[in-house]
Amino acid sequence: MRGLKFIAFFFLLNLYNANSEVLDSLLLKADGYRISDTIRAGVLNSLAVELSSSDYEKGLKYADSAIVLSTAIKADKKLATAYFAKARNLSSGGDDSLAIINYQKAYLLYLKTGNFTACATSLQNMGISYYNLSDYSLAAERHSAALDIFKKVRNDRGTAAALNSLGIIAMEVADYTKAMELYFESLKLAKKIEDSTLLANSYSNIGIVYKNLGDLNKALVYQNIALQLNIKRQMAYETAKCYNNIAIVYSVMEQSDKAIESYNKALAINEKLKYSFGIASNYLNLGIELLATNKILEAYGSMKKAESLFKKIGDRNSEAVAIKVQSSLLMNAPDSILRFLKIPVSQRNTQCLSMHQKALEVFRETEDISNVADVESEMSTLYERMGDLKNSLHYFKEYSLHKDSMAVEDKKSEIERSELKFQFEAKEQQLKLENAQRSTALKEAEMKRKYYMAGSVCLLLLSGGAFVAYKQRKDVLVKKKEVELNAAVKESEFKALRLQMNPHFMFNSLNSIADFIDKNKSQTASDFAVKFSKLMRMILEYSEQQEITLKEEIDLLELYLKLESIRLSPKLNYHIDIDKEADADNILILPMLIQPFVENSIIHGITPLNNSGNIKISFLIQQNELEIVIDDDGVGMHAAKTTNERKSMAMKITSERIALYNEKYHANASLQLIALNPGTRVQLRMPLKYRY
Amino acid sequence: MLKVVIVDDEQHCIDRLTMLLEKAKDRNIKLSGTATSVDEGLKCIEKYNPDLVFLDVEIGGKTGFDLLRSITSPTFKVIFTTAHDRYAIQAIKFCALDYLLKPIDEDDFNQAISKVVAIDNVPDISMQITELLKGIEAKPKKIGLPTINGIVFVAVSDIIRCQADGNYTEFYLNNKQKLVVSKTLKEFEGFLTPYNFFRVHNSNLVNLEFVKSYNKGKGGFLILEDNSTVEVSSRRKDELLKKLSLI
Repeated sequence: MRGLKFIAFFFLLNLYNANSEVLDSLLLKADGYRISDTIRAGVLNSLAVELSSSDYEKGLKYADSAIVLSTAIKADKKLATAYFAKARNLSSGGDDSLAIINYQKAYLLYLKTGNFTACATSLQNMGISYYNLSDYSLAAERHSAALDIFKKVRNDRGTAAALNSLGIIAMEVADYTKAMELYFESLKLAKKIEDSTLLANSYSNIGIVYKNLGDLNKALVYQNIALQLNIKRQMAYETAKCYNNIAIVYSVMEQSDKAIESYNKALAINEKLKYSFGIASNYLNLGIELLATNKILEAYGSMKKAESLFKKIGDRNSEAVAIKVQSSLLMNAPDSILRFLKIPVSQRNTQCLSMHQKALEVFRETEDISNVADVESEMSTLYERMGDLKNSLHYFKEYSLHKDSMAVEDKKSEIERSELKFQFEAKEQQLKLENAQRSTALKEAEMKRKYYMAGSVCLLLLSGGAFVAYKQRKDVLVKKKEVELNAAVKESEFKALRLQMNPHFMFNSLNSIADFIDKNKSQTASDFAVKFSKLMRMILEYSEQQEITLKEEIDLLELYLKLESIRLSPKLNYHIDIDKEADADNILILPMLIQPFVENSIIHGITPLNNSGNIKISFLIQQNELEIVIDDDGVGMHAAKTTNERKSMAMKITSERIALYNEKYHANASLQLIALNPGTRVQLRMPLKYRY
Repeated sequence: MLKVVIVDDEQHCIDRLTMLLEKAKDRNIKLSGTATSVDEGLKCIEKYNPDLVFLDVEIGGKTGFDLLRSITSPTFKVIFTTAHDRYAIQAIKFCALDYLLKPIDEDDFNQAISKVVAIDNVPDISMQITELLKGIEAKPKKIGLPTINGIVFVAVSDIIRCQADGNYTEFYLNNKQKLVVSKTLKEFEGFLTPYNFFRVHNSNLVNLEFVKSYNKGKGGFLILEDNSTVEVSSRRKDELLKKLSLI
C-alpha cells in the first residue's frame, strides 16, 4: 500500500564538505583553463558532487567531463570520485539503476587505491539506491558491508548512517525489533559524535517504529524530541516532516484537532519552501482530518487543492486518493452542502460514480489493492442506491475478493506488532537507564555542539507516495475495538497461521511439483498439486478458528504427512494412532498445534538420515487428559543442533499458545521434548475438552 | 450412456475434467461437448441434451447461475465447479446441489460421478435451481434436504429441531412431520446457525424460535413447542442461556 508511510530519514553520504561559497569558488576554477588537468579533474568532481543536491543535470555533465579527463590522465583516484559523483547525480535524478552501476565502478576503483572510507561510502549509497528500487535484500547486503568497513576504519558518522539505513530496511520488512536495535545504536553514535542532525533523525525514526508498534504515546515523545532539535537548528525541511509525523500520530490517536494544528504548521513551512509534494500531502491529510471533525466544506476544499497539486506533480495514485475522498464525501454529504457546491442533488450518485470510476482505474493500475477494495465497496453502495442491483452485487463481489487478499497482509503485520511489542519494552527499559546516565552529559554536549557542514550529510527524503494518514485513520476506527478485545487469543492464532504457512513447506512443495513435471511424472505432479491445494484450503479455514475438532486436526495432519511422504518418497513412513475411546468429532483442540512438531521431525530428524525414517503420532485419552505423542526415529536433537533455531521457534510459539490456553481456561496443558534412541519424542498433554 | 457437457471459461479446467472423464469412460460416460461462455453453454446444452453438466461458477463476466436462469425446465444434473467462492458454495450446499473444488481431486470426482450414476432417473432439479437462484439473491428461506425420496425443500422457519443419528439426521418439523436426511448433523449446524439454531448437545440442533421453556439442571433441558424435551449439554449451557436471553 502506497502512501501511508511516515517519512524515514536516510543519510546519503558525500565525500566532500562544501557550501555555497565553496561552490562559487569551484565554478570559477572550473571555468579557468590555466590549472593543471589533475586539479581540474578534482574541481570538476567537487562541483559534480556539490550540484547533486541542487542541480543534478548540471552535476551529471561535470561528472562526465571528470570521467573523460581522469581516464585520459589515468588518475584512478579522481576517476573513482568522478564515478561516485556521477552516481550521486543519477540518484538525485531518480535513475537508481544507473547510479548503482556507477557506484560499483567507484567502489572497485576506491578498493584498488586503498581508500576504504570511500569504498564504504559507495556501498552505503549503493544500498540506498537499491532501497529506492525496493530491492531490500541487496540494499541490506550493501549497507551491512558498508557498516563493517565503517566500523573497521572507526568512522562514526558512516557507521551511524549505515545503521540507520539498515534500520529503515528492517522497518520496511516489518522487523521492528531489529529496526529499533539499529536506530538505538545509531542514536548512541549520534550522541557520541554530537551530531544533532543524526540525533534528530534517529529520534524521529524511533518514533516511527513506536507508531508502527501501536505505542502512540512513545511515538509522540520521540517525534517531539526530534522536532525540538530540528527547530533549534532551524532545519525547515526536517521540521516540516516532524510536524507531519506528529500529525499522523495524532490522527491515529483520533485527536483530529491536534492533527490539524500540526498539519497546518507543516503546511506553512512547506509553502515557504515551495515544496509542492509536501504541500499536496499536507492538504490531503488535512482534508481527511477536517472530514473527521465534520468540517465538510473545508475538507472538500482541501482535497480539491491536493488533487490539483498531485496532478501537477504527476503522482497519480495520490491524486486518485484525493478524488476518492472527495467522492465519498459527496456521497454522504447533506443536500445543503451539495447545493452550496452547486452540484444538483439529483446528480449526486452519477457524479460520485464517475469520480469513483476514475479513481478505481488508477488504483487498479498502481495495484493499490486496499484502495481498490475501498472504492469497490463504495461503488457497490452507490449502485444499490441507484437501484442497479446487478452492478451492486458485482462490485460487492470484487470488493470481497480484494478484501480477502488484503486480510492476509493485514494479519501479517498484526502478528508482527504483537509478537514484538514485548521485546521492545525490555529494550526501552534499558534505554531509560542509559538516558538517565547520559542526560546531563548530553545537555552539555548540546551546548557545545558544533555544526557540521551542510554538504557532509545530505538528507534524502524518502517518500513512498504521499504520506497519507487516510487508511490508518480508518483502520483505527474500524479495528481498534475488535483488536483490543481479541488481542491475546488472536495473537496466538496468527502465530499459528504463520507457522503453518511456513514458506519452506510451500516452496518445497511447489519445487516438488516442478520436479515431478521435469521427470515426466505428470500424474504424481497432478495428484500432489491437488492435495496441496486441499491442504492450503484447510489451513486457511482452520487458522481462522480458535478451536477445531480433533478429527479436523488429524485430517489435516494426515494430508500434510501424505504430501511430505510423496515429496520425500521413499524416505518417510508415518502412522497415526488414535485411542479407540477418543470421540474425535467432539474433542476440541487448538488448530494446527501438532503440525509444527511433525514438520520439525521431518526436517531435522528424518531428512538428514541416509535411509528412511518413521514418524508415529499417537492420540491417547488418559483420564481427563488428551496426550499427544509425536515420535520420530531421526537423527535426534543433538545431531540436529545446527538447525536448532527453527526448532526452538516452533517450540517457543507453541509454548506461548499453550500458556495462553492455560491462562484462558485455567488449564495445565504441558509440552515436553524427550530424546529417544534414536530420535526425538514430543509429548503434549492437555485437558480433554469436549465441544458438547 | 451418460452424456456430459462442460461449461468453463478456462481451457485448462476443461482439459482436466476431460482427462478425468476419459479415465472414467468404462463407467458409461461420454463427453458430448464443451463451452467457454454462458451463451455457448446454452447452445451446447440445447444441442446435446446432456444428462450432466459441469458448470463453472464464474464464467467470463457472467455466472453459471445466469446460465441456469435462462433454462426454463432443466432435464440434466448439475455439478458446479469453483476454486474459491465461499458465498456461492454455501448457496449451492444449501440446495443440496453438488459441487467440486478446483483443482479437482480425482477421488472427489469419482465420488461425484458415482452419486450421479446411482440415481438412475433424472430427478426434477428445477426446484433446486429455483431455490438456488433465490438463495444467490438473498438469504435463502428454504433448505434442500436429501432424503430417500429425493430432495425435499423445507422452510427453515418450519424446522423445530434436528437430531443426529449416525451419518443421518432426523428433522422434526412444525407440521409434526419427521424427515430422515442423509447428511451429518455437523453439516446442518453450519447451515442453520445463522438462522438462530443452536447445537445444545452432541445429538441435537434446536431452532431457538421454538423454545417453550428451559428447565434448570446440570445442563438442564429444553421443552420445545411440540412438547419434546431436549437435553442440554453442561458445556453448552452458558452459551445457550446467553442466546436465549437475546431473543
